[in-house]
Amino acid sequence: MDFVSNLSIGFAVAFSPINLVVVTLGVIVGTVIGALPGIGPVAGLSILIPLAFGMNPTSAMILMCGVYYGCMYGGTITSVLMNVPGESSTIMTCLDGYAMARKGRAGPALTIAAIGSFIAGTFSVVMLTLLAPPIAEAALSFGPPEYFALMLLGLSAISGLTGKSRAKGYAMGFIGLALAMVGLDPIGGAPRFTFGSLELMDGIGFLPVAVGMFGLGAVLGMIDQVLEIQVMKTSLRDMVITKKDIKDSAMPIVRGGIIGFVIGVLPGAGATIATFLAYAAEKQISRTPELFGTGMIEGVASPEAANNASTGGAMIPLLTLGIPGSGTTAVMLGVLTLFSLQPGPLLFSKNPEFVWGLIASMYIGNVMLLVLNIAFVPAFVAVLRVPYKVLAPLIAIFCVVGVYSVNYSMFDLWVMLGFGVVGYLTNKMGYPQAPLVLALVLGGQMEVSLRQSLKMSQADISTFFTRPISGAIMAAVIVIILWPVLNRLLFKPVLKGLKA
Amino acid sequence: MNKAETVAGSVFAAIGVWILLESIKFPYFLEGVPGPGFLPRWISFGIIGTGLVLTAKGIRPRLALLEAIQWPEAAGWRRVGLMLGALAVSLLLLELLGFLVTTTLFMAVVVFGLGVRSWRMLASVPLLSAIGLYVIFAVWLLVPLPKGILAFFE
Repeated sequence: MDFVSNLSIGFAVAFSPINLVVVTLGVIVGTVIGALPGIGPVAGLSILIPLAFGMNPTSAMILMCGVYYGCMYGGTITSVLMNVPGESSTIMTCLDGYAMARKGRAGPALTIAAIGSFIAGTFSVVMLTLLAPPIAEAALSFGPPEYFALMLLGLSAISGLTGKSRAKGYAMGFIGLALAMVGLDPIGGAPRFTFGSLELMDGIGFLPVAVGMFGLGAVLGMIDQVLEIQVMKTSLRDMVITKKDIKDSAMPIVRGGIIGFVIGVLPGAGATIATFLAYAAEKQISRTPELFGTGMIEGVASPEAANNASTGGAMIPLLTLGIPGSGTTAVMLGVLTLFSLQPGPLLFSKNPEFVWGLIASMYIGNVMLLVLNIAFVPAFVAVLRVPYKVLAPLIAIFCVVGVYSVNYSMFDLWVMLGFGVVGYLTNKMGYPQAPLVLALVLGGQMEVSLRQSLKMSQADISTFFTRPISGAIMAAVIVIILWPVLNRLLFKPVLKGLKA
Repeated sequence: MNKAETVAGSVFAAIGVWILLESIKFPYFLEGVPGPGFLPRWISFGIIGTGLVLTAKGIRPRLALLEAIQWPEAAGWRRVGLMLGALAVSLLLLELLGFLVTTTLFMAVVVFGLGVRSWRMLASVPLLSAIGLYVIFAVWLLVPLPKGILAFFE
């Protein structure tokens, strides 16, 4: 079968000494980043981009992916031991994980979380292996209208579904698009919004914006309050689980894995929503739902499986269509564009070693994380004891030197500082940051696809709706944008009528 | 009324108006197809529209109670100001003093400003951080970090 030969190419790449070192580094760094409250995978990836830039594209993406799913594992540690979610997709783990820790069962909670994450993470990589090639094959027939529609879908989904306020999400998306307009017009070459500045002729870089908003913004968020942290002690002996733990966790892991993978594929959904849905589903079907929140191992197994399964799902639209489904994959897309790699169907045919090397490394990374998160939890916990007063400025200066190392540009550093302030304030005020960064990454290509489509159709806008694939995608865009109205006018009355 | 939300919404709307005024300078259509002014103009409409919606939401009286922003206390603002101020000064001095000196000074000032009083940590953390980052970026990744006043050592 094709995927067997593809995977054998991939494993040959993934097992090279440099890539084994990189995936190990990635999962360890990812676990540490995930464990640190206030720094999530998006901030972690953004801070590491300059490091990745010094590597070849395959190794760089292996590092990024290792950090991505490593964060999912790492966030569990603080959720269970401190009742502080390491990042948003481990919020649900706090409910039963910390309750288990208070009953002296932190070890089994962490072990089941690691095992569930491994099983579901591996499942999602298998699904990625099987589904990515046919989707990429189907996408070969896409033209500029389909690409424009897809990018619009990704952007409207992330803007409309992320965060509490749709208006705030859309505002940030539009600002990101505006930033993407700075520089030379991609078709005519005329300078736009450059005000005579040579630096602005190159446009506003994705890297200083991402590192500023996510990295520096998170650092400022870390120091604006005094965090009193009590870490529960745990040792390797405590990590042993019983047969009952395994029996109680098995089906929640399966269900969480499936939910996580499906949600991960959807643009705008992401790991956090996956964990909420998995937890809710588990509570719904449980014979003892009233016990959830008091230390039910199912309440740890299911969301943990979901958050790791979502990582494989999220890679599908990114690699096959070039459409990131979340802030994290938006940063990865930015990294790919830095390497002049265009994700999408042609990536599979033109760069098979890159794609399959990356997918194969995800299998290896999941195995490493299982071992690390059972055997080395006390070591990761030790990192949490580094005072924030030292960690925060260290991360800040890492951001500075990281951004400088890419273009040696002082202008980039000032952009990073400015967007650090923007990132901090927008975070405080509930403005989601992922739409801005995603729009900045996609904006240029969106404009090219839009103008090419209208040139092909001689400025006839109906081309986006009359072509079958772009028409279907545009219909989905309209549903997403009009969802609040449709829900109020159509679905709620229908549901009321059915209940009556 | 929620002041911060109202101001933020107004800022967005103002940015949108400014982008619209700038984008008018570029041709909207060129030889029958969208020109360089086409998308910026529509983006400006989007920003103005969402800015007005956010401003209107901020003006609603019940919003102040429902969605209060968790601003830090005065001490928190001072810490944030310290970090930003120290970073800005570091950027200004980076090429003059060089990476090693600037990083050491930045770390010392910020770590002290955030409340560390142990002389061991104040002596070791800034120096070790600067050297560690220098090793990673300048030695391992061969990034030409500014040498500044230490350039005469070469």
